[in-house]
Formats: sequence, structure tokens, C-alpha cells
Amino acid sequence: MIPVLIAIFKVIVVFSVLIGVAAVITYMERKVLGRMQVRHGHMRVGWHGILQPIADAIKLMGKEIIVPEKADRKLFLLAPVITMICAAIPFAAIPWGAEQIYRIIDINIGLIYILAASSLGVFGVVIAGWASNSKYPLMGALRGVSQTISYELPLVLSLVGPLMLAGSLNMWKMVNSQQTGGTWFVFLQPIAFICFLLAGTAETQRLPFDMLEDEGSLVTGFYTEYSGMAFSIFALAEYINIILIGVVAAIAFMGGWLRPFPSVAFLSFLDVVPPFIWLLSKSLLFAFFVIWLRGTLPRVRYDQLMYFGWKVLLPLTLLNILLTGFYKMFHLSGGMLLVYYAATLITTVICLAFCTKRFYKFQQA
Amino acid sequence: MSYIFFIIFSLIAIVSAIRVVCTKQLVHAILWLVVTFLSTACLFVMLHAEFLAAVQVLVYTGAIIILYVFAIMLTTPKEAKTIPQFYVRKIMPIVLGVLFFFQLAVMVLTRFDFIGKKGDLVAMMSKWGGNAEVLGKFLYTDYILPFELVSIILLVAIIGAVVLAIRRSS
Repeated sequence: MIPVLIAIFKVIVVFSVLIGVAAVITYMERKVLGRMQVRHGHMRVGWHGILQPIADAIKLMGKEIIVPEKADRKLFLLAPVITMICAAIPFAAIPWGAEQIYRIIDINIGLIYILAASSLGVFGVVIAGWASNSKYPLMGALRGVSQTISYELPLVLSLVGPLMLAGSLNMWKMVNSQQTGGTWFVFLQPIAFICFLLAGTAETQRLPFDMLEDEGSLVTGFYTEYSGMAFSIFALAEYINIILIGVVAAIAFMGGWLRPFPSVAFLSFLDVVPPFIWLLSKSLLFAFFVIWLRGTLPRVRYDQLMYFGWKVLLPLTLLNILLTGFYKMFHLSGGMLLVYYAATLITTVICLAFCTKRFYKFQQA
Repeated sequence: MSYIFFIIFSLIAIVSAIRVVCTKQLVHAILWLVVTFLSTACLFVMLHAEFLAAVQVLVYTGAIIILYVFAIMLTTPKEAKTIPQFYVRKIMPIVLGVLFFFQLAVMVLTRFDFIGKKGDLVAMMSKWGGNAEVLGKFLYTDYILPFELVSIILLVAIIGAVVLAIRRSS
């Protein structure tokens, strides 16, 4: 009974922290976007608008949830719940530190579990779009479905590289092998890292890949008909998804809860920072990256989105698996390792240059 | 304890499977199918086949069902979205279904010895360190030929789909 109680306690703690961090990201998004557009962002509520998320939450809670008359009432109300659950359950398998106390459950196939659980999130989108019984949400849902299927492949395949290096699907072992190896996997897997970031941005349905809530052509896509708390649950789930992708990126590529440069001895004073802070801050780095993309790039067209997913990201990830296979097979070290690094970097640059060239040609056509 | 969970999940699976064929709305039927797959995945977990369960969710629920949804939303006209509840007059599918069920039941009951196998699996998992590892070992040693054959069949299917798509568009 006691282990169950402890697990429930951990779940509550993790979930509350997630909600808190999601609120922080909403604030961060507004402030960073504001700075990128040379304005202040929120300044009124609290010091530099720091209480704005709380004000928003109170406002959204006070609003009425309007169910359209022709909507499928049950499914309409079920959709935000499904989205939220699917956003939250992957965190069960995330280790927030090396010790047992930081883990909720230790699943041996943690990575696959996380991907499987988060892949269910698209059902929330589908149900929301369909149950609204309205044109724009339906179109948004259709776009969401095809986008999620297309970008799930590169997302999963880009994680195969670090998985091969670690030799395990276990998240804990993954970080552990980065500690014993003395280097983050991002330095061994630059292609996979870039592909993962881009596919992750698309998976979390963020700009420039937010075809399913394209406010220019679809109002707000699949949740056009939602209001009040139901709407804010969708938004919250989106931010939690960002945290999830960030955490997975941190664990698979950036050493998880380890401090930067885990093998450099004189930096060991950094260990006073608790491990989950490192993991969270690495995850927030991804959030910053996503906001940065939003502030920089225009939204892609739908066919460009498909082109990019299938013809750029997918071949790149497959190439990366091949390269990682060479690396694993020949046990590269010393000079050969440098050659491997050089080869990887050059291939990345060539591929990206080639792809962007093709991509922009495609854009003009 | 695990017996209770087994009964709960199998009941959910059976009830939702019945709902799949009895629901009027096609989209509702698909969502019930999702419930069926998820509870089947739970049953896999209870049989110590975590990897299989996760792949079931990832591939079947996450991708294939989504493709069904996509096809239904895109292709079906509004009137055809509701289907009649029971094809009582079409007795043949029912007979075939019952026959298939009995065939499956006889196969399972006579050919496999579950109690022995489960112990084997647990022993192998502790030897090689995990579910995915055991599966990988077997797929690439004992069952390499069937595995490769299945891959070729999948490849053929992919090429076939591409060929069909190209022919239609040109």
C-alpha cells in the first residue's frame, strides 16, 4: 500500500509542477515574442506582468463553456480531457534524477512508452474537430491527423540514434551511458538532434508547423468552437507537450539531469543544483527554441509541410541510423572519431543546404 | 489482484468490440475500436509483453486507426456516415465469424501451452535484460526467415500503394 501512496504523491507533485512550468512558458512566450518584435509584452499585472498567467487562468475559469447546438455533446466535452490525459501520462516514465526517489515508475521500454502515450494525443484533436460539427475545426483536425502521422516517423527514427548508442530503451540507462561516455549524445548525433527538434516542433503543433490551428485560414482550427476552461485545457496540453518534447530531447541528447560537461571534474560544484532543475531548464531551452522559431519564421504551406516531413526529415533520420551503425560497429576512437565527427557534420551541412535549396525552389514554384 | 485486472480489461475489450459493430455513427465505432486496442495493450502488459503493448498502441492506435479516421472523414459522404445497426439478413458473416472464433479457440487451446511459456519468458527477460531485448534476439536469430519474408511483403505493399497512387494522378 505504501509504494502506491508514494507513487500517487509523486504523480501529484509532477503534475502540479508541470502546470506551473506550463504557466511559466506562457509568460515566457509573451515576453520573448515581445522582445523579438521590439516591444515590452505584458507589463500591467504585477512586476513586468509576471502575474499575467494567473490573471488569465482566473479569467478563463470564469468563462462559460459553450457547447454548439449541433455538436456531439459527449465527444465535444471528452476531447479536452483526452488531450490533457495524453499530454500528462508520458511523464510517468520520465526519470528526474539518478536516484530512485526521482522516478515514478521504472519502465524498461520507457522511450517507446512515452512515444506511444504521446501519439494518442492526436485523438483529442480528431475528436474535437469532428465533434464540433463545423467546417473549420474538421479541416483543422484533418490537417492535424496527417501532420502528426507524417512527423511521428522522423520523431521516432531520430531517437533511434541515441538509442543505439545507449543500447537501451530505458531512459535512466540512456542518461547513465552519457555519464559513463563522458559526452552528451548531441555531439555524436547532430543530425538526429536537429531532426528531433524540428519533428518535435511539428508534433507539438507549433509555428511554423501549426497547420491545424492556422488562424489565417482556419480561424483557430480544431478548437475554434471551444471556450473557457475547455479551450484553456487545449492550450495547457500544448505547453505540456512542449515540456515533454523538451524533456525527451534533454534525456536523449543533452544528458538529462546531468550538469553540463559531466566528465569535467572542476565543474563539479555545479552538482549542488538538484538534477530535476537541470532537466527542467534543458526542457525550457527547447521551449525557448520553439518560441524563437515562432518569432522568426512564417508559417509553411501545407504541401511544404508534407514535403519537409517526408522528403527531408525522414531520409535524414535514416541516414543518421546508418552513420550510427558504422560508429557502433567499428568502435571509433581517437583520430577515427574525429573523422566520424567531421563526416557527420559535413553530411549534415550538405544535406541541410541541399534540402533548403530544394525547399525554397519548391516554395517559389 | 492481476486476475481481477485481467477480467476488467478483457471485459472492456469485449464490450467495446461489440460496440464497434453495433454503433450507428462510424466515427464512434472507430473510437470504440481504440478502446478495444488499448485494453488489449493492457492485457499484453499483464502477460509481461510490454514492448508488444507499446508497439500495439504506437502502431495500431496511433497510426492505423488514425488512418481509418482520416479515410472516413475524407471519403464518406454525409448520408453514408451512419450505418445500419445489424445486418440480420446477412447470415453468412455471422456463421463465418463463429466458425473463425471456434477455429481460433481450438488452435489456442491445443497448440500452445501458456503456463509453461510465461515462465520461460520471464526467465529469458531476466537473462537478457528486458522484453525488447528478448524480442530482438528471437527476431534476428531463430525467426530471421519469417521476419525477412514479412519485411518483403510490407515492401511490396508499399511499392504497390505508390504505383497505384502514381497511376491515378497521371
